Amino acid sequence: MYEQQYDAYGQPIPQQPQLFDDTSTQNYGYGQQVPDYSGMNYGYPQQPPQGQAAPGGGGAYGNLQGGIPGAQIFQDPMVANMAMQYGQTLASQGREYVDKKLEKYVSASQVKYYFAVDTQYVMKKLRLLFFPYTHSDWSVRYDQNQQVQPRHEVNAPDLYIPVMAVVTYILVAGLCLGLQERFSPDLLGMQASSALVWLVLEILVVLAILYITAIQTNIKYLDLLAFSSYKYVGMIVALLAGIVMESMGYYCLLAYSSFSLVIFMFRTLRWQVQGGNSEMEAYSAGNKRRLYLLLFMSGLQPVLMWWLTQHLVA
Amino acid sequence: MALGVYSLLEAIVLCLNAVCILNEDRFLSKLPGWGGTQVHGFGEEPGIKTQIFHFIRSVKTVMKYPLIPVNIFIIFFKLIFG
Repeated sequence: MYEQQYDAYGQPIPQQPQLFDDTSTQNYGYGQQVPDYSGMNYGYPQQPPQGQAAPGGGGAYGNLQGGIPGAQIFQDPMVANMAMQYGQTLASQGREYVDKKLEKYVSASQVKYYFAVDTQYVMKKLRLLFFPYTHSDWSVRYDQNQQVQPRHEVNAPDLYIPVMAVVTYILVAGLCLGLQERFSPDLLGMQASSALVWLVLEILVVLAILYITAIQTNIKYLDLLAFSSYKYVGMIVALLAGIVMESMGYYCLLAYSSFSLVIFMFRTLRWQVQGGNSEMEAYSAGNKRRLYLLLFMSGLQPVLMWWLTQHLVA
Repeated sequence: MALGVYSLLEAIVLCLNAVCILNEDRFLSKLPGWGGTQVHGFGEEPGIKTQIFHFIRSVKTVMKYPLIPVNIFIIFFKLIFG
């Protein structure tokens, strides 16, 4: 184990003293080769972590005597480089292909817009979700017909907070269930799909209403997804309060976060649903419909917040 | 209420079935305002009824044929797996 090892060209490989007795080279032999040949393996078989500084080319040289014939070609660093580059080209081609196919359904650049956030934005947005009372200007600045990125504009919707909120909600739901001795992994999966299904349902209902009442808005589908998922933040807070202070804390925080979320949604959506364009033409019927839609959407949030969390609190 | 993705899909298929089943001759023609294809001016208000009728008509046109294999599949699935 401590003798000088040589790579394929006969050059000595500098070694660091091993941290532990490496018994893997004795046991692996042929058995190690089989799992290594799935796809591109970057030229040399994967080594279990060793203390050697060598890339394992020389150290594994002894292993391959019993391995797949022809595997020794990968010991050559040149071939290893070529294999790696080929693998990378394949990977990037595959990725381009997938991107092209997906572009029709979910435009990747559009989605990237929603994730262009920074810490400042997240803090401000979270503060807005719970204290929307003092914020006065809810308009969103436009930049060449396209909304300004969330990182520059607090009022713009984003998808980072919703994604994080949904994942955290699922984890907190698991925590609640565990604390009540009701936990099992498939229940967690059911919670997750339940949350997602209710999200989808809510968006479908809102889209159907938008279509039927023929309201002209500039809202995009991803915007709706973002707005519908902001309630998960309130739900997480209410659930955590429910853990700490049983039903009392849960209901109090649920009421408070529902209230602030309703105000937040109403003010944000009023700006978005009213087209975001500066004309405020008085389609009296159109405005009334918009108002009803706003009220409906905002009012739906507390109901869903309660519905999705009440079975988790003792 | 634990809704899974499959329940959602089933619910959607059932609703689409319900819309497609509405018989054109016996029921829909009798509804007042059904033949309203001439409201395509640049009027401000298409009206809720016209929108719903458009919706029903488009769902029937688009989904009538694809729904048949989907229903067959779901029936088969339920027969085998309960």
